[in-house]
Amino acid sequence: MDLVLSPEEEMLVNSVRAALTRKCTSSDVRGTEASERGYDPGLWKLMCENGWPALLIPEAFAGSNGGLLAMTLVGEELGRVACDSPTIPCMVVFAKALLIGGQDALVDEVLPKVAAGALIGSMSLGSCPGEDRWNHPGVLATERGCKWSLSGEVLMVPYASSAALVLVVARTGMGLTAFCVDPRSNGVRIRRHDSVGGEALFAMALDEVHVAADRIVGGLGGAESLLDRTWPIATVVGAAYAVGLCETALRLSLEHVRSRHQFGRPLGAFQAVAHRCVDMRLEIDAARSLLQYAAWRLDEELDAAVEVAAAKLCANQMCQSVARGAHQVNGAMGFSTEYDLQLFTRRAKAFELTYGSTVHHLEQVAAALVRRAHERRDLIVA
Amino acid sequence: MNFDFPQNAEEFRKELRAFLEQELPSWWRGIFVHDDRAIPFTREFCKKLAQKGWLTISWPQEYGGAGGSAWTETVMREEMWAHNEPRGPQYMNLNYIGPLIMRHGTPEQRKRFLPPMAAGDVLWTQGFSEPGAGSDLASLTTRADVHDDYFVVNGQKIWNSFADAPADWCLLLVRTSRSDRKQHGISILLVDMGTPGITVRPIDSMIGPHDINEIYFEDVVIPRNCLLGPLDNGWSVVSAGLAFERIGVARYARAHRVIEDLCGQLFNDGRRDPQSAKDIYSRHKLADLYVRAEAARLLNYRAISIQAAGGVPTTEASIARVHNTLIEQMVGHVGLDLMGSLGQIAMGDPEAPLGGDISRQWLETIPASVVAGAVEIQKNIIASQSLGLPRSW
Repeated sequence: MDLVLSPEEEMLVNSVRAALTRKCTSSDVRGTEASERGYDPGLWKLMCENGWPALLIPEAFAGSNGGLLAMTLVGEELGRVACDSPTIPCMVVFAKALLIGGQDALVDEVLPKVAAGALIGSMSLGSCPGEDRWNHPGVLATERGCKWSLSGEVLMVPYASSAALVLVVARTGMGLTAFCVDPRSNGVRIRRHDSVGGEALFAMALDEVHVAADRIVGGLGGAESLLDRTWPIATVVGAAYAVGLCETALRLSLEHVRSRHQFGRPLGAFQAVAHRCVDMRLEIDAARSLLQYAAWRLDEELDAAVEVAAAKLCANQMCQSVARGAHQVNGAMGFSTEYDLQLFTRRAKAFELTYGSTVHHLEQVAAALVRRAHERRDLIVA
Repeated sequence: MNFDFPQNAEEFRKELRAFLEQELPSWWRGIFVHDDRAIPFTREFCKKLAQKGWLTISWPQEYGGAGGSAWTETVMREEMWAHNEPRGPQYMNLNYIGPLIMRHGTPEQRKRFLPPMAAGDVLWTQGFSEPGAGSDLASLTTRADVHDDYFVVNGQKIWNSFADAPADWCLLLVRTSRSDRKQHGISILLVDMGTPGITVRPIDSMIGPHDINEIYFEDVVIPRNCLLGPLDNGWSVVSAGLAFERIGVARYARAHRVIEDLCGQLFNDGRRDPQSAKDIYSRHKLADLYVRAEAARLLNYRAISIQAAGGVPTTEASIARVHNTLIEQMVGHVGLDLMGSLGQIAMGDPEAPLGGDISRQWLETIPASVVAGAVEIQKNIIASQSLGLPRSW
């Protein structure tokens, strides 16, 4: 047991932080957010050259194979500067789904390009298990000879305007199935959402889009089990990104309460203010501990369903507590868009609403507690 | 980073659990219940632990320990607190009074005080708070006049746990000189509670016997060789000691045990799926408690990791401590809420749900956020030392 970063882990954190501090300032973030692509291709290239986003891709596919715990360290650094990048949708969700369920030819062709940052893959955030889709009709796939025809609409696809491939989950006679779709194909229309977080999210409408059978990922009817194995990993990296966002929201708050004077003393000399900042620190450290534990368990190939749910729950509580605390102690300054705080609290809200709701994860933990109570009782009876 | 307990610590946990299963009588509910068997039981229990070499399992061998790691010690603390601390008052000797003497005692003091602790033969109390010095501990006024080879102590201490157990010794904070800085001039004395001039008066508590006392000192003569650490500079010694004390009580471990008991009661009371297992409120409340207890557990492990690497985890210990306290109190409150009206039937009544354990949990954790440095004081420490904020009011 050792919960302190190793020298290698510390080195990774320091080099990512040094690069992002220079290349991803808050004015860069504002520019990127307003841009058509929604990410900075130059920065993305630099990150990929260093192997930071591709830590979950094996070396055989040109990845840097550093494991999920290392990936969470990178995720936290991205959050600290509110960096919008395809890291999670492309390098975590898309790459993992391909590794788990992609057919060999597709994986061999696509994955090395993904790892190098030369090809962007993505998947709808709405395909996360536990996502309430508000009865959205989704996509229907029908077999036409050796091809499939997809029609319908998926929402919230990150970076769809730059993506070469998007995993689309569609209903088939054999159950939910994931198809790898080129968004530039005939019959695809994309439209950018107006969303709270700032990440480039798109609605993707499909009208009789033809997809070859070898582009099915995870097998016919295999989407649910594919997603159950993919999204927990993304959830943990997302939680790390949120921890980074909250760290900076706290740092901005501390700078403000140290320098701003009222009633003849700094705001931070009032305990009502100081303790509110401490409460943020308490929440951030709790969330980080839980997500790193979940990441370690996944790296060790141990069952981590409860730990992932616990990490997401706690991260959601952190986001609410830190956003409320930070906006409170920053006063009117905090909601001016010239000030940086909103860059972090808007993204924290977007994270909170992604990767399964609070109630979904509460229910995951509760179900495990019920199961364990049954197991203990069975043990006593036996 | 690595979240695995060392294998020898895991094996120790198994052995310790089997030992507890065998040794803890069914009536055991901790030392704060009105039961004359409790204190004598803790003395016998500590002697048995000592015979197995477990009482001071993580102390260095030269002081009667087994040289175990911080993680073996963590297993010990978790299992003890989860089982209502059967070491009774002696957990304080083992967690921090003994280690303070190891670090700051003279060779003679170590030889004199540590072996009886390692044998499980001695009860200590601590004399810190005073009627006029609680959270503002450094303003204490109990006076020790300095003579060539002795001190004369006059004053009053309050809220001393176990003093009436009775305690054999007291780790006492006294003022040995006055200066502009109130932290300066404080010294630590190791006081034989049998010395003439000492009077102990128990104070009735919501929790039960031995919880709180007052100690009066009237011209109490303490030999010079019972001064621990430097004269007038005891404050820094005790501050570092308290960082260890804060992670010394594995409150999260009892929270986890209570959550497990509540899940057993509500989710599987002998029927496979009682109605309460489908109740969304109960399910989600317990899930939330579980997650907070897990966070507390991991934050304790972080502080222990720093300690194991030779550091002093001052702010990390305070962060862990606040989480520990909050979860331990929360499981009591939420647990009783989930019991419904039967929850008010207390321990001692055969109809008390879960043997009254939940109402004890609520009662015993009322002071958890007050003892050993109130939560607000912990937050002040975090604000100044971790967040770099100015001193606040």
